[in-house]
Amino acid sequence: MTFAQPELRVPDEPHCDPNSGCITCGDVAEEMRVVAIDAERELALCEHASGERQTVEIALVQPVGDSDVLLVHAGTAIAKVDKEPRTPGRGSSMKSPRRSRGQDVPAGAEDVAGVVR
Amino acid sequence: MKFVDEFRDADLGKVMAGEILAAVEPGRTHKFMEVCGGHTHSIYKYAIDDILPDEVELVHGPGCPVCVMPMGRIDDGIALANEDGVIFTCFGDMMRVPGSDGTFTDAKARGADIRMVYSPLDALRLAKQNPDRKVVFFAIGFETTAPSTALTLKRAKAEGVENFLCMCNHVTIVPPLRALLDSPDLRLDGFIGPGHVSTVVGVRPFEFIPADYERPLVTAGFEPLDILQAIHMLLEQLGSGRCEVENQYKRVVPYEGNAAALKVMSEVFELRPHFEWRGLGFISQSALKLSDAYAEFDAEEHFTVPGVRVADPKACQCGEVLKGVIKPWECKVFGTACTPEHAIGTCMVSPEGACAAYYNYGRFSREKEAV
Repeated sequence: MTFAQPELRVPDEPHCDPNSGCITCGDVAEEMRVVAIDAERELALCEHASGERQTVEIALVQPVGDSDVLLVHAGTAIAKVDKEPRTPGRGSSMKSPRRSRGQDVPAGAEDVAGVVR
Repeated sequence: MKFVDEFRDADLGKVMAGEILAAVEPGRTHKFMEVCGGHTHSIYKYAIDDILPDEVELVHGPGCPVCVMPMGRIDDGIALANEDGVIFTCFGDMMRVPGSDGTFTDAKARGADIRMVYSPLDALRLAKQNPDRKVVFFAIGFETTAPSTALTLKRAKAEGVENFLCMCNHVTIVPPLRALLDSPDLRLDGFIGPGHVSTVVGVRPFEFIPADYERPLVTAGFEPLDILQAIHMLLEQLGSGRCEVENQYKRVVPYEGNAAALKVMSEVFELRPHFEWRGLGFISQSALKLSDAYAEFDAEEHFTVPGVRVADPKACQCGEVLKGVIKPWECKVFGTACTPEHAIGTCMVSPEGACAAYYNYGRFSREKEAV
């Protein structure tokens, strides 16, 4: 059983995903797992739990390895996430991926090598 | 979903709500400010305030960079977007923020080439794809977002991209907190600290709050149990007579922050002498501009912007909402003249703004109460 999430009205204008918050506001970041790394350009192809993939700057969290979980904000990883956290109330806490900003994947984001085009 | 449901476990939430109830001092109201809009969004989304005892009141803070952006900066951005040959880029949440003559969406409808991007890198990519155009990126955000802009500017410089420009509106979190604490009309018992800003700046910058103002702060994550745990930690501090900075979000936030991010920010940015915050007025050294080493990318150096200060609409009470003096529903135009579709104030524009978050989620429970 989880907290209920009421249905949202979706604004009719271009907008970040209101269900998960927007990019700039509210300090929002999302957790993504590293799929592939372009070490030379310090970029990584990362995957969100929802399956969405995105190219991410990893210069600020080096060294990064395959399967690392990164906290990503506006296309940049700002922290690594503890892989083996525990739940709150049991001594510590667990990681909490926020949903991604939306379903749009920037063109070419599937291709790490072609990202900063 | 793994690693999400655990932090949204309603049964555990009820247990924690019971612990919070046991920790409150009966008859005393404990006012805690959640600094950041992400927390505000989660509090309304998961109806966290509904399961808190009456003795705990949550006050919404100024940690939404869209919400605190003054109208004059929007006008400046629109002026840049209207320059010949400019592709103006911004995050989606900025598109509907009203300036004195409409929003970026309105300006786009009038013919300006304004495009939404999801990251500064997207804007840089546009610049590379359009070498005969100037691509201006409207940079906005607290220390969570500033490293991303800084890295992109470093990349632009390294790759010699000369048609990429940045209108810098990045703000910093500590000066407005200090301004709030100095405000005579604000009474708070503690703070829920910003989780993701702290991944960059660390926990240390908030130590002035217990030291100078004798208020505890707990840096917290964004899931319901994170926030409940942070409230419990604050109550425990008050109950035991402690007053310090604690970190509930240790799985992500290191005490010292991200040294690489702070380094790149210090290379690319410098502090502005002062910056206007909606509702809070001018706050000294509270925002960033491009450093001399990156002045060639500064859109405000490249073009002339009006730079006019614009007063908020009289009906708008975003200032009081941002300072936590009034609740969103106490604003005269909340939900009537001001809605997410036709926002008068910035707090109704961003989903992280207190008014939009409350409009989208909280009003249902209040309507139920009224019935």
